[in-house]
Amino acid sequence: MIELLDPTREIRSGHMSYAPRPASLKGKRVALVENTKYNSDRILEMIGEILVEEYGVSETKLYHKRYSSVPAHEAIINDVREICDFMIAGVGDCGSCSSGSVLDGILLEKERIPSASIITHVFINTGRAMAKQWAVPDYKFLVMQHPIANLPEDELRAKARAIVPEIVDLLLKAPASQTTRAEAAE
Amino acid sequence: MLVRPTNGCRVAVELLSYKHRVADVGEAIDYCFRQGWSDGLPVIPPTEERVLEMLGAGRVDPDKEIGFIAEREISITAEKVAINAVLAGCKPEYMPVVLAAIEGITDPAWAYHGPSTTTSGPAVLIIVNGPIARDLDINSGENLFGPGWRANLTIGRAVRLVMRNVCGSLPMVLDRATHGHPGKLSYVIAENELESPWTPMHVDLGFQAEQSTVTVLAADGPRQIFNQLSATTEGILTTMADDMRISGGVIGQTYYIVLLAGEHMETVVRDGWSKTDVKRYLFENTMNNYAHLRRTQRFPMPLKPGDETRIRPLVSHEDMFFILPAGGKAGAFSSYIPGWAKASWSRMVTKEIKR
Repeated sequence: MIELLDPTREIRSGHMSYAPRPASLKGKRVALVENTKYNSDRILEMIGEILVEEYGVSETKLYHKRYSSVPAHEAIINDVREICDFMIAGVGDCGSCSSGSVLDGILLEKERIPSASIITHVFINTGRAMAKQWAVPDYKFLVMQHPIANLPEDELRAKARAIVPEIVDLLLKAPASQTTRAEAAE
Repeated sequence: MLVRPTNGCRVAVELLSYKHRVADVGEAIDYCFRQGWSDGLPVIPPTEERVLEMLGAGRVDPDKEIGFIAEREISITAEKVAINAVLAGCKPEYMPVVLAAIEGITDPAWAYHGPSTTTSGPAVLIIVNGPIARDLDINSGENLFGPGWRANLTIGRAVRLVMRNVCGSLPMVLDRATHGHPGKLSYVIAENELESPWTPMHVDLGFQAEQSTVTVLAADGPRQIFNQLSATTEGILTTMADDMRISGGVIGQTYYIVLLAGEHMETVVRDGWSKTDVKRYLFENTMNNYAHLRRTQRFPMPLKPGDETRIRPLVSHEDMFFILPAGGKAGAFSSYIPGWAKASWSRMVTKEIKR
């Protein structure tokens, strides 16, 4: 009999604690945190326009991350916390940026800002793994079909239109927390 | 609670990792595969005895934090580094190099999350400078990227296993490389300092020649160029520059490691070119114009007035080329290695190896 030492890191288990949700978007300010990938600013702006025209959002403010693979930097977090009521992050359509956008949502929820992170479907595993690394394996993020970087304007707009109801739902209604079991490092 | 001798003292050492029981060594190797701890090759079973030996050679306590990755909330302890170094097949004396490399990739300037998760698939190029490279027989000559040298193959493997097992950088999960490249198994080289006419890279970076360092760079695979016709440095570098002009991310402006091998180095030495001469030549001869970069879909279309003459240098400054003599004495080949994406997204980091 021999004993082997485990080479992995044990990850804390836990569940997401969401910011309190207001009853509506009327008169509220929404931060759009784009991840600098091509078209991510355009699709967030389109989402913002729909929220203003159809859901009574008073204004949106577009923030640019330093680059796609990093979480929103402190100046963005502070500004959003000071002057915005909601945050939408995305659209991650690569490996490091998807998980980066998921992290933006987690960080802003910690700051008590109701948030929605959007990634593309081929990176669901990556987004989920990032949430696990932050000990919030049940964190809810939104998913749209990959890719977006090479889409023409009309297809981008259709994607924006399609995801808006999910965004509104997530911003106004925190998902029920799930009881999670301890999960070993992957 | 265990006790290990350190510098004549006896220090209490407690390893905190969970212990898995298996029947014997043969089963242990299969068990490590089944647990997902391997990169695809067999590993050495990480027994307590081997792990303690590794920690002793690194002169670190197991609970010492070697690195912290803020964007993942990951703390990497010496104990986990040692366990993964055992798995990788490192000799205990390699441990100081592995520790310094982990310090490097967890430095905020290296910015771990991007290069480890990206679809673009860079590996961690590890360049060892100073006396330790000779002491550990880290290959700087013929076949330096190839098989045959335990230090080259296991040090980089240990770093990758830490990334996999401790940081969660698993394929399909938090390592989404579309292709990746073979350097992701191990990508460790040394500079041929003893036969170089120039100061070694770590001295250029501000270290003393007698210090040993490890440099980590998120990098693409090596690309080889062939020129056996030129008897001049300019001729050789013409080939190099032509090949480099469209390489790596092209528009990102990253780092380039240039490895000049034996025959080419002889020519460079005979011509009396300095490193700065080489860098300047490469900088001036690897420019692209915006029109070409738009037509080939690297920058968004449409063409703008002046694009035909508007110049985009391959790198932001000539000092982004790092010139190292390395490789075999025979053969009219040299290589270059583009760094990942954009230099400001992940900096090349150099750490002193403490031993």
